This record gives sequence, structure tokens and C-alpha cells, in this order.
Amino acid sequence: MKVNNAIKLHPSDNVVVALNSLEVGEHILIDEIGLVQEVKDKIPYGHKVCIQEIKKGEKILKYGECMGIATNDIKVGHHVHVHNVRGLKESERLVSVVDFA
Amino acid sequence: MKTFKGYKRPNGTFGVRNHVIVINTVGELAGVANRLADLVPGVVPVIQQGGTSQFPEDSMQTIRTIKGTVGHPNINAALILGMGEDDFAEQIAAELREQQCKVKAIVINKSTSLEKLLVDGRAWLQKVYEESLEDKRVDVPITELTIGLECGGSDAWSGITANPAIGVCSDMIVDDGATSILAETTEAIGAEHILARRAINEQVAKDFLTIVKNYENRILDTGEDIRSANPTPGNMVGGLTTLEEKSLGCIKKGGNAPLQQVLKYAEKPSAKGFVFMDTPGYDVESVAGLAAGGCQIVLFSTGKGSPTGSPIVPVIKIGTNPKLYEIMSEHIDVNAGTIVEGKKTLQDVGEEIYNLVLKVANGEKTKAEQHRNQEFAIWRLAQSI
Amino acid sequence: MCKVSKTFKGYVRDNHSVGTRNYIGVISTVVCSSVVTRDIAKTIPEGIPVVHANGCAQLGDDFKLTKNTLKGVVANPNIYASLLVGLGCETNQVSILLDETIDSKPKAGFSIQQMAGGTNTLQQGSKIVREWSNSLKELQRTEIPISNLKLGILPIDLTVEDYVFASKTILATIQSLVEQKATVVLGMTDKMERVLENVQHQANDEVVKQQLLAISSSKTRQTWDKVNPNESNYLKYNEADLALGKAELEFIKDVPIQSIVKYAEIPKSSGLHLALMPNNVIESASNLVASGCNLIIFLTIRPIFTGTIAVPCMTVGIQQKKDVSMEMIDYVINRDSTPVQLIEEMIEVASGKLTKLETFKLEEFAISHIGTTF
Repeated sequence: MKVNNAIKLHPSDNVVVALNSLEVGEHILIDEIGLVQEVKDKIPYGHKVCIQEIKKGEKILKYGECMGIATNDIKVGHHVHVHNVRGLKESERLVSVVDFA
Repeated sequence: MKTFKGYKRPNGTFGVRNHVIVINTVGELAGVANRLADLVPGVVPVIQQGGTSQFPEDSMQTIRTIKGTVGHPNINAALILGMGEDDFAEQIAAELREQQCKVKAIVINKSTSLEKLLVDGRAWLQKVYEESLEDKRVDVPITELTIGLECGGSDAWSGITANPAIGVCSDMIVDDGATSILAETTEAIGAEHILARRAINEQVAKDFLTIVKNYENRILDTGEDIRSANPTPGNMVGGLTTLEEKSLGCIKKGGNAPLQQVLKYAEKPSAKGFVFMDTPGYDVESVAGLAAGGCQIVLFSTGKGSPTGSPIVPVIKIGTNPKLYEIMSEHIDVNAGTIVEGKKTLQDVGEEIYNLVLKVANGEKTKAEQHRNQEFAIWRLAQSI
Repeated sequence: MCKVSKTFKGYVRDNHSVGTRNYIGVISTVVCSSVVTRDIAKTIPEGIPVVHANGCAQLGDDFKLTKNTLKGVVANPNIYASLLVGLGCETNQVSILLDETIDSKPKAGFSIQQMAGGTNTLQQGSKIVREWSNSLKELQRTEIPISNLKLGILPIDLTVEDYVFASKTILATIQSLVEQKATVVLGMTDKMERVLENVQHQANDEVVKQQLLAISSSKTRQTWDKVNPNESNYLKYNEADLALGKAELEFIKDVPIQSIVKYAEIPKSSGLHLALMPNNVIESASNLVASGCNLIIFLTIRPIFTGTIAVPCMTVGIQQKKDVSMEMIDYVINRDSTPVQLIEEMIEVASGKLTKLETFKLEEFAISHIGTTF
């Protein structure tokens, strides 16, 4: 049986979370969705890896929700954290609520 | 239709436990309530230390919590101890008796003899406790079940394993037509817009944003700012990047179902499905609010490990990481650490929790119940007068 | 002047403080560890569980008050040694609290998470308290000057008439104790706080005088550095309230006021101190424990149904009334009672005689709140 070393929290997510610390060149394995992906940065466990290219200004999706905005282009297999992601500004948060109304 | 085996109450509600409790309205009677519970083995003391010298919003909250606790479907009978002319014990008892609850109030005054009080209280408790042993469980439709969602002592894995797995269970409960109540307003700060968008209409969205705003203002009054202090440096080392991400990790206990209603602390939902209750992050106070609002079972995720339970509802502990389960299995009911090990998926663990909810509803004891962890405290809003 | 025995029989601690009882405190730092705390305390006869609903998700002054209260309990002269028991992830960290408590008595502390569960915590905890319990058995009561008495006085639900009736006895008692260099801490009602300007001439120094004026001029119960400003409009005081406050001042007429004790502080000198406290009996009695009192008297016209852990609470009734149940009252101030009798009764309790509340084992503990939990 294959053992997963990462977890995708929602089908629409563009990041997954490493369950072990991953070295450059290792592969992410998520058996149930058939994902195998080479890792390009060292990823500490609990941290996020990009699995779908994200352009600067685009949303980071985790749990199927927007958890931040990319501050650089992020390529597949790279570490996603404070160096390339920012939180939402108050105005952006408000817009997303107005969206609802 | 799915069912569980529960206790049918005369007022049409259903309990998963059949407790006889003694509870005090004012802190001065905490010791007397404990003494009475000691006199009749099996009777559960529900002790609190407020009830007097409180500002109106605190008094109202205390009364609502005590009434919700005494009238809870898991309660077979309750003795309320009150004190003085303007005590609310008698009023609560009268209102609940109208709803066919088995409740007796003893209000103490300056001519009360303690010896006699202990004799009378004991006799009543002994009688109702013996009667309670006659009750049999019956088949109850699962739509009558309400679960509460809580976390305490979170770690870096909480938002990745236990909380989303609880979310899977919560969605299954909602799909069954039952009710799931997410708590802890403080945990929603930063992701309130996301939960607001899940509201079924604009009013519910507004209600939710309002309680978050009020919450933040109350904390700001004490000179602290939760929003700018999070995520903490420790959170970032653990992999959390933004405040939204941290809060999402908490609120995902509530799965993905639409938000039907927003409740005050200790208020009962009038809607079925997924609802939110305004409670503090202080877990014992939050669980007391969920219970008083009618939850029959509470799901509680923990990363650091916590033994706490509730005097009136079973609390199911879900551990977030494998190490915790290894060293503290005496306090952990479900090991979501299997997700970290890559052995199980969120879906697997979500189903495991769901199955355990049904077993516990049928009478299986949780770890907290086995260890008689019966912590209780009512959320305090303001200073003591 | 009252002629009374100027000594009582107490327990002298290594740090020279004097206890009227001899307990080992098992203290939970947070509500989450209260069950195991009780279990550890039960394993020895001298064990008392110090459990409460606080300790986590607290901020600012509210948190400071919780810490001060627990530190005061550890320092209380009736406590021989203290074991602090935490959960591990709470705001009120065991290791920090342990560092901040006094070093002159045996103390230890750990958390459930550190011990990997409640069972280990119970085992380890009972081992420690058992050792303390064995060494404590050698300690005997000895004759102690009354200057080591630290008396807390708490008036509860009194009317102007009651204050007037009792004031001569209480005032003479306080005068006598102060003259013999004992410490007296009077727990003020919120009404008394409003009229403190009337006793400004009794202030021991300018600082105390300014505090008295500041407290009485504030319309709200602003007793800590910061309170929730949204609540201030709820508390209003009318003429009748102020009359009650003035009647309470008669207890301390012309006695020099050494300091104002904020919640849970320990007075730094002997003599009379005025303490700010809530009206909730159990919270205020617990405050007096934290302020170092080794004897507490409740002045009341009704039975009081809770004492506090660690310190004997004597219920002193004012005037025997027909409709009041006497089974819980230790001493009654009547027309013919004298301060000498009251002090002698207090000395007996300080020397080991059990109060009614101790006999009934009604001993609780609670920490006041000055803000919300989050």
C-alpha cells in the first residue's frame, strides 16, 4: 500500500500540505487522487506546496477557500508561504462579502 | 431513516444521557450543591461561582445558561438551589415544569436550616434518581440529534487533520437532517467573510459579522488586538501563512454546509442544519454554552491533549497528531493522526467520527466520561461588581 | 482598653509567617486541570484543592488578577506547601507562575501535557504531596503574639441599623488589634467606596489620601487599572446607598488607614487596610485569602453558606433575631457582648477551634473577573 506524504484539503485547491518534511527532488504522493509531483524547494512538514501554477495577484486556494493572494508567480512544486503570499486587505474582504449580497 | 437509541422526554425532546443533576444559581451555594451530590451517588453536580454581583448582560447570560442546562434533553431531573427573595431558581423551575421537565427548586433564606436542607434535598434526589433508573432507551430519528463543534489546545496539525475531519462528520450530520453547531467566535476572526458568504440570507450573514465585530471590540477594550497579533510567529513556523488560513483551519470543523442561523451564547437553535453560536475560545465556557443551547454531544479537537468534559453532555476528543495519541490515549477518542501518517484520508476519519457519534448517542462512554471529567463554567462578559 | 490574651496558638513557617491552619495547597492554574487537582488533594488529609473557573483565554488586568490571586494563595501563611497543576497550553503557564511565587516555602508544579496525561499527573502529584504531608506532621502549634493575626473582615448584606448596632464592638475590636500591631483588612462594599472622602483625614500618607479621594469620586466601580467602559452606566448610587456606605465607615472611625488593597494584593505593613472587592461572597473571601489573611470574619444577619479554602471563616451574627437560623452562626453580637468576648472567640478559632463552616466542610474558592474571556 502506498502511503500519502501530503494532503489536499479540497478538490479545487491549488496547494497541498506536506505531511513529512520533503527534500528537493522528492515526490508528493496523494494516492486517492493519483497525484505525483516533484518538489522543487525544501518543504517543512505542515507547510504548503504549489500543485498548479499560480500567477502574481491570483488567489491561493486551501480548504476550497481564498486564504491569501500570491505576491509573485508561483510554479508547481514550490514552497507557498509568507515570502510569496499576503493576507487579504480589508477592502478585498468586504468585496467578498458584498459578492454574497 | 437513521436512528439512535435515546431517552424520550415528556416535552418531545430526546436525550443521549439520563442525568440527575444538582445546580446552584449563586456561587455561595456551590459547596452545598457539591455536598448534596455527594450524598446521592450517581447525581451529577453542576457547579458555578457567579450568579450574583454581575452586570445585567452577565446575569442574563448566567440565567440563560442555567435554564438551558436544567432543561437539557440529557437531563432526567434537576434540583436547583437558589438564595434570597429575587433569586431566579423558582422562576426557572416553574417555566421548565410547564415544559414538563422534572425540576425542583429549593430557595434558601435566612431562616433555612442547612441540616434540613440537606435532608430534604437528598430525599428528593434519591427518589428521582431511582425513578431515572427505570427509563429505557427508544429508537430516535437522527434528525433529533444536535452536535457541537469545539477545539482546545490546538497545534499545527489541527487545521489539517482533526478539524477538517470533524467538518466531514458535520456535513454528514447536516445531510441526515440533524443539527451541527459551530462555536468559538474568536476563532472565526479573519475568515468571517468566508463564513458570512455561506449564510442562507443577508440577515444571517449580518448577524454573523455583527457578533464577530462585537467580539473584537470587547477584546480591544482590554487593550489587545487579536487581528494584528495573528498568525503568531509560532504559527508561521508551523506553516500558517495568513490570518485567513489560520481561521479557516478552525472554522472548517463546520464543513461546507450553508449557515442557517446565528445564536447567542447558550441559545437554542430554531433551525436544523449548520448553525453558529457566539462563544469564547475558552473551551470549558464554550462547551457549557453549546450544551445549554441543546447540543447532546460535543466534538472536541485537540493537538496538545486535554482531559476536559462536561457534566451534562458526552465530549468526544479528536487528537490531531500521532504522537498525542501515543502518549495520551487515555484522553483521546479518535486518532486523526492517522491522516498525518498517510494511512487514512479526511473522509475515512470523518466517517470514523460520525460512527462514534452514533455509538456515543446510543450510550457508549467517551474517555472524558470514563474519567468523570465534568468541568463547567459560564462565559463571563464583564467584571464582577 | 480590652484585656485579652495577647497570644494565640499558631504554626510558624520557615519564612516567619504564622498560620492558623496547616494545609497543603493543590492549585489548578486553569479550569482544565481541576479534576486531577481535586484527585491529588484527596490523597492526603492536609490537602486542599484550589480550583476555579479561570486561567485561560484571559487578557490584560483580568489575567493579572487571576495570577495575583493564585500567587497570594501560595503565599498565604496557612499553606505549608503548594503544588501547581496545569494543563499545558493555557495562558496561565505553570512554569511562569511557579517562578513568580514566593521561594520561602516548598513548592512544585507541572502540567498534564508535560506528564502525558491525567493518570501520570495524579501519580506524580500524589507522590510529591505525600512527602510534604509526612514532613508537615512534625509541626506543632506554639504560642504566638497576636501581632501575627491577619484578620479579614467582610460585611455581608447589612442594613444601616445593623451597622449602627455592631459598630461599637467592631470598632473597638479593630482598635485593639491595631494597637497590638495585628493586621486588619476590611473588605469594603461598593457603597463604602463611594464615601471614602469622609475618611481622608485617616489616611496614613498623601498617597493613600489621594487613592481614597480617587475611589470615592469615581461613579463606577473602577477598582482595577482598566475596566470595560461600556458597562459604566449600569451602576448608580442613591442617597440610601451612600447612607449604607457611611454607616460602614463607623467600623473604622479615626483608625489610621495604612493602604488601599487592590484585588488580591498583600498588605505591606500591620494596621488597618481597606480592600476593594466584589460583592460575591466566595470571590471576596478568596480575595482575602490571597491578601494573606489567616482568619476571616463574616459580619452578617443571615447564615452564610460558603467559607473559603485555606482560611477559617467565622460567621458573626449581628443581634440575635427570631427568624434567623443559628446553626451556622459562630458568634452573635448582642447588646451585652463586648469586644473582649469577640476577640477571645477569634483567638480560639485562630488556635484551632473549628468554625461552623469548617465543620460543615463548606469551603470553596473563586477568582473574580474584571473583563471578558476570549
